[in-house]
Amino acid sequence: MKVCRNVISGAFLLALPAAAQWLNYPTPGVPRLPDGKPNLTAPAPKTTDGKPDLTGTWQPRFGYTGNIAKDLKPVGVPFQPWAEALYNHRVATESREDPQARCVLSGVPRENVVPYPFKILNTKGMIVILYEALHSYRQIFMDGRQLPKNPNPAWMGYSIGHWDGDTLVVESSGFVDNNWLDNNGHPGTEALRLTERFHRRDFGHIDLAMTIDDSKAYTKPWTVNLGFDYADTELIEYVCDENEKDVGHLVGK
Amino acid sequence: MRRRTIDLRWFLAVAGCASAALAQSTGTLAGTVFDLSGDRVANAPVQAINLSTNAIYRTTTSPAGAYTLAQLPPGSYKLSVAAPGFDVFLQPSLTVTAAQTLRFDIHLVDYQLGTLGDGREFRIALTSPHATPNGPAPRTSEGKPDFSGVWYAQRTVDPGVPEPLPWAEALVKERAASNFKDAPGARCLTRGITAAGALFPYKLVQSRTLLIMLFEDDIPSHRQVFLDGRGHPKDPNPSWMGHSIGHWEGDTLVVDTVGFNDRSWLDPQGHPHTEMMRVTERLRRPDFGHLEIEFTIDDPGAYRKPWIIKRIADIDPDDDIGEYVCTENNRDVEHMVGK
Repeated sequence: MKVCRNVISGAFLLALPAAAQWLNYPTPGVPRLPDGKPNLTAPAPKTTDGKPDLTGTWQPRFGYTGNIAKDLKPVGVPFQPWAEALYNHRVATESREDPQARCVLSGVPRENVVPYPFKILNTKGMIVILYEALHSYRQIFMDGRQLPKNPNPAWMGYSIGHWDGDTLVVESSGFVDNNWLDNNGHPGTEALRLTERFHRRDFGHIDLAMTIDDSKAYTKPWTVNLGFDYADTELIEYVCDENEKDVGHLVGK
Repeated sequence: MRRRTIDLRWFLAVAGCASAALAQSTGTLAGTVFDLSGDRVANAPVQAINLSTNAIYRTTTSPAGAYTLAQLPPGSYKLSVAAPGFDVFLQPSLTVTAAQTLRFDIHLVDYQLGTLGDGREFRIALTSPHATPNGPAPRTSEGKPDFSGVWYAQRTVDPGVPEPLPWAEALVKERAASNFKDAPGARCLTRGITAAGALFPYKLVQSRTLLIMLFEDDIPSHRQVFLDGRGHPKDPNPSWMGHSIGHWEGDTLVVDTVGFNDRSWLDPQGHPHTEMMRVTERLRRPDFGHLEIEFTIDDPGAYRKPWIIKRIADIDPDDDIGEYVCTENNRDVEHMVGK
């Protein structure tokens, strides 16, 4: 099942009920208010080694699916000239060339702004993120390894993490050269070095400060502030290629 | 279901003096195993199952590809060959008659995805046993076996005996006759629960309340097995992977899955299923290097009785799963030709 959403930028709101329809299952261990809803301002849970436990199902905060850098207006992002021309082309053609519309992975960091929930599992030595979007996943290695020197370019990149106090710092490289950072199509290249700082400030909220360092596409690093809200639901199965109807509706010039 | 294996050597030693009489009251099944290019396939394991007693008779082919299964009690047999690099061959029924030799040659179909590099050698490398480190299975802090790790694709130890209802049998034949051109995997659709770990490496990540399967294959895809005591939803959204819950029986994790759609193929032969399917997986890690998986496919909408498949996966301790984006430059579909 695929929810078509590339044409009408606001249509992602319609996708939300789909995420909640399958399982109405209150997750054990969730602090709840008297009315049964999760207590989003309860303290963040901790792992046995005292770090915040990011485990849970999360919904990217709305508003950034189209433009990951919308809060940077009016200055905008520090494009290299070719990257700005490409971005303007993608906007003018209504994202007709979006690989995600062809069921190619959204990739990182775009997964942080898609309108679909994801699940984080914090385990020994690694963090796994399961994305509802396109049924994909991401691994963040917490075992002290370094980033590979010559990684196989991947939509998800290669990620390692460490703790800075209560903040999880994830560094990633090894991205594909034709990355889209959002629906509008802010470009990303193989030079992208991504730093994400995840902070679970309470039970219901993760703040994310994300720095895009891609010298091929941008003249200097830029940072956006995003976030995730706790989602009291389960992931459903998203099989993009099943009855896929997006491509036929991509009508930009 | 338990099956009895008859060791012919033992049988002959005890009943040696009766062998002359036996030769008259039993029959023989013999033939040659070929690949599609006509070459003979040596060392291929051949198995015949007596459909009324479930007794299993096994042999392997000679260097010239020949096999002989002698002294079979008369009756109907299901013949199968599970040779590395090939799709499992299944002949649902052959009739063995007393004092006669039934010749039956077998033509194995190469396993292939229709993608450059995915030939017989590729499949052999994936599904042959791998050298693995020795040692006991690791355990979680709760004392349960920890299945976490990267596993090579599952190899089939016993393909089992599917007994499809007539419509399902007809569909299997139709799919074979059309060169499997409608295989979901060629269109980047999820392969489904029995095939997802059977072609490419996969990774298990286990916590106290959740077992996650990360598949390199399939776009990619993942599966969750809930270990937190929840039940199945009352009216699950039909899905390719279903809804899975697990519980421990000693050191065996028993995973119960329902809520399937009716679209996946259970194996490369295209065995179908319905939304009534219930799959029970029994997972064991007998030592550090191996994961045993036993599938019981119970689908009264498509099969006369439950179908049991037994597989083993070897640990791949020094590797990780890669990123497989099926939809990126997919050229399979235009090459899927059949009637």
